[in-house]
Amino acid sequence: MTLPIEAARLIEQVVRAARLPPSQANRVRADLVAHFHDGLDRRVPVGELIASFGDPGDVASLIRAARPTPRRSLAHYGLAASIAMVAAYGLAFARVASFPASEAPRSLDAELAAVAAITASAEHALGTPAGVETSFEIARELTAAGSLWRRAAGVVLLETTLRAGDSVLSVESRRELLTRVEHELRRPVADAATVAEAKQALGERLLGNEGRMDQGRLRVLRLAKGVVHPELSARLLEPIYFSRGVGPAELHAMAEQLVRRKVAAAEQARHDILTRTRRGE
Amino acid sequence: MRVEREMMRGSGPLAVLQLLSRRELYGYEMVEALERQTEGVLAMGQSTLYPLLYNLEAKGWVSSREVEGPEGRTRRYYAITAQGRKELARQRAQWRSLAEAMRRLGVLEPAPGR
Repeated sequence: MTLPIEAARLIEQVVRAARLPPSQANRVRADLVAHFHDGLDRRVPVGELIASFGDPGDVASLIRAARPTPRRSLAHYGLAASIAMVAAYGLAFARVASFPASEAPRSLDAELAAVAAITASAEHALGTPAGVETSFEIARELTAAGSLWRRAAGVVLLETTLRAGDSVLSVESRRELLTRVEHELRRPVADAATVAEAKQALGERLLGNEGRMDQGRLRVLRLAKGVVHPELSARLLEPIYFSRGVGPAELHAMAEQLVRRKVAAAEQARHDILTRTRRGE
Repeated sequence: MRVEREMMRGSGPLAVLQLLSRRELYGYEMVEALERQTEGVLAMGQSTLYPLLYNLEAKGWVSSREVEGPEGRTRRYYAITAQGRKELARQRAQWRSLAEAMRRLGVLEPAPGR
């Protein structure tokens, strides 16, 4: 289940206003996402959750003053599930599941999860003119961000938003939206330094653990690909594939290829939009 | 009846430590428990709870861990630490003294059996 847009935006608003270092911001974001999910699970209307949450500015000030400790290791994630998998798949799977704690940077995990959550929430509401407008605003914020993951997701979301706008907006509104989208796409998806930084960060995140993949790393790989809900076959086969040790060179190549594809997909989306603009559609 | 913000500021940490002295809880559970067990008197806005938890954690009175649920989502569970239990005992003693003083003044009703 994805968070409704208004909840996702509120969380981002609080996190940004708190002006915390990335590791602390990720901790707060994860806590608040879980909080809203828990409320929605209990069938509390999102409006009620937001109303009882309080003013985002006040919350941000309190959080900033409290200085949350950074988000810690995700290594224990999925331990119970891993144990079940060991029973089901034997030694090969055990090699995947019985990973030690890693000192790899964890901020990437939360960043990718946040991008996936924000994007999914935006796409979820695209059936109405108001949803298209909200989605555009979210995409604009993503493309204005610094990380490759946000920018790439933002550009793709702009294209998705534009397509959705074709169905629900008037001709005049569509033209206006196209102009605004084009304005957001003045610069390429990412410069060389940003791409290199993303490759490096992903490569480093995948490294370690004696070249063995674990649940946390698998999740990062999936999210980096843009896969939020992997198919059953992927869930079953990926761990088996990664039960062998994977060397640093192979992991870096994997990270490089993944980032390259990510940029290519976003550039293709950008190209398609700009082509459409030139045609004056 | 809701407690004024200033009073809540002093009682909030104690209330949370007391809740956690029974078992570990995640944020939303605490919001619900405070609302339910105090019949709304100590209902804590989410805006207050999370900063409060971060404060308690920074002081070493509570610890937290992320747990992945069956649906693949993660939650952060909070638990009281040994240091937190000492602090809870200290604060409870202070509240008892305060309540006793208020009783003597007639602000509170005498305790049953007195």
